Amino acid sequence: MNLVKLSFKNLVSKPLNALLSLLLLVLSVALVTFMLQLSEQVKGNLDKNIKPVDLVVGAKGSPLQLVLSSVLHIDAPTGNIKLIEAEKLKKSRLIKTAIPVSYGDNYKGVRILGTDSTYFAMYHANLKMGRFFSKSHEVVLGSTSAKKLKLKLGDTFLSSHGLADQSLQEHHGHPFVVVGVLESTGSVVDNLIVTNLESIWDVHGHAEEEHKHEDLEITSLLIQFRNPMAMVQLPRYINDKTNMQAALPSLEINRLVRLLGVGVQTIQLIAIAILLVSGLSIFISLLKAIRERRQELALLRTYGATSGQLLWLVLLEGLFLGLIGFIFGWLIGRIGLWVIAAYAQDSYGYSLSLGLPTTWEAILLVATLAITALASILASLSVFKLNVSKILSTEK
Amino acid sequence: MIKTTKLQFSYTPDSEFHFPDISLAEGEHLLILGASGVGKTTLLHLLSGLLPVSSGNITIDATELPSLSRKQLDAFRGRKMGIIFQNDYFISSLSVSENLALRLYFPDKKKDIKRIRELAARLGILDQLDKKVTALSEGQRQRLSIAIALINKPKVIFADEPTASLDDENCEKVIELLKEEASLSKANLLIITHDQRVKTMFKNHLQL
Repeated sequence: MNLVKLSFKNLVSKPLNALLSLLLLVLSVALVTFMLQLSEQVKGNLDKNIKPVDLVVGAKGSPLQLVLSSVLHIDAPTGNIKLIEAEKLKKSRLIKTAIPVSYGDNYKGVRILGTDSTYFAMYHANLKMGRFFSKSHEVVLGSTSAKKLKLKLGDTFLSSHGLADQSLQEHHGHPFVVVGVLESTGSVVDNLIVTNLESIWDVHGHAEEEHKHEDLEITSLLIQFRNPMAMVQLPRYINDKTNMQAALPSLEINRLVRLLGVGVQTIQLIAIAILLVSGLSIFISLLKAIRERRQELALLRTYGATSGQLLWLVLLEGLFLGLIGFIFGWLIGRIGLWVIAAYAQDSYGYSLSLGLPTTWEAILLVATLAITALASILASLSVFKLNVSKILSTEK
Repeated sequence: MIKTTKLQFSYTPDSEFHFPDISLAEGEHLLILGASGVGKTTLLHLLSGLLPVSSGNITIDATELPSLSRKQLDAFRGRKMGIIFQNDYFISSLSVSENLALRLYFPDKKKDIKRIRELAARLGILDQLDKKVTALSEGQRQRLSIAIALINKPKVIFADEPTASLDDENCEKVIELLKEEASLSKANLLIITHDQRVKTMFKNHLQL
């Protein structure tokens, strides 16, 4: 028998007394864990996807929309740009790589992206099976798309017009054939069907005739800079001197994250408020427990326990409460994230993973224990004023 | 060994207790008698260091209690004293054997299962060891509080009405056990009582 065991037994012998404090603690820890993980993962995901792309050049319109559509593939494009103009731009010595991308079709809601092989290199996407496309109407599937669409090598399909799975009218006469499947990269490539630019041009009415070079259009150009100077010069040049627009993904996404951040912060403030209330609740329930058990505490003094040891006893009980609350809250937060992740994967093709505990969660654990410890110490200070003689001679 | 000199205590300025001097050699027993309100329990709490004396001195086992700090007093009490209170108090979340083990924990003594079982057997609560204390009968509770007071082989045993709820047979058994335990460790035994059955079992009386 020792203090740790005794405080635990005291806690579990009357579980209802601490139930409210525990529930509040679980709720707040679950909320914080969930929000921390969610915002961290979303931000991590966004960063990972936009990092390879320094600049997007596309049709004039909303720069955020351009980034969302061309880099993250979650919005409609702002329009198209002329291939000739894009190629002119490509010659700039400020540009290391420029990758043309083009849209127009989907298959069962999965976007078909026309580009060239440099796109794979940009996201470090390697083949799991098959090969890369070498001619029109050959496609390579991202790992998630392959699973979702249940397509194998050699399978063919007809695409639908538009970017979402809404249009009933299918394109005829241009079946796509699957020639390769990519390994999972954890980036947007996983959720795409990738083909060459010619395929996109073909299905949009240039099929029978010779492609006239000056008529060809692409959706946008993904650019990697050669040096930091490009970041200053290139966007200004494009926005001022051409009828295209340049958008910096990092800037636009930061703007978006800041907007989302207000919501995240609000929820976190609510969670912290609940955490403080749960600290208060622990304080009150321990104070009540001390009052109920004052005879037992007085008895321990006659056994040779010092007031300091009694303080430890109450403090440990509070810390147990904090620890149990944290563990359950953390588990519930994680399970919540796991449920949302499954949903996000289905609805947005957005993958969330349950990573290892982060530093933030360690800080949350320390904060939870600190609050419960503070509440317990404040509550247990009354053991120093325990009148042992009076309690043990007059009360039963 | 217990020695008190000119012991005084007051809860309020207008009520003051003056206690006769006590002087007991090692292993001596004393029965303290008196009507309610004369300060029997107060004397016991003074001797066990639960109450600070107003004036006078208490020496137990060559240690002057008034000179000890609160913490030293706690430790001294844990090591040298065994107290049986008028009302029995236990830790309700623990079993009988855990309550006994806890009494050994604070004076830094190891859990002594053999001692726990031996004492429980002699007090007739061996088959109750694994029960919650809340499941015990009145008599069993009293015997458990005696076992708790004896478990650390104290140098002084204080008992406040230890036989109040016991029948004749158990009353005699308990007093015999207290005497036996006291003599085994050459401890002083101080019993506060108004139980007529006990009076005849001790020759050394102090009337308050």
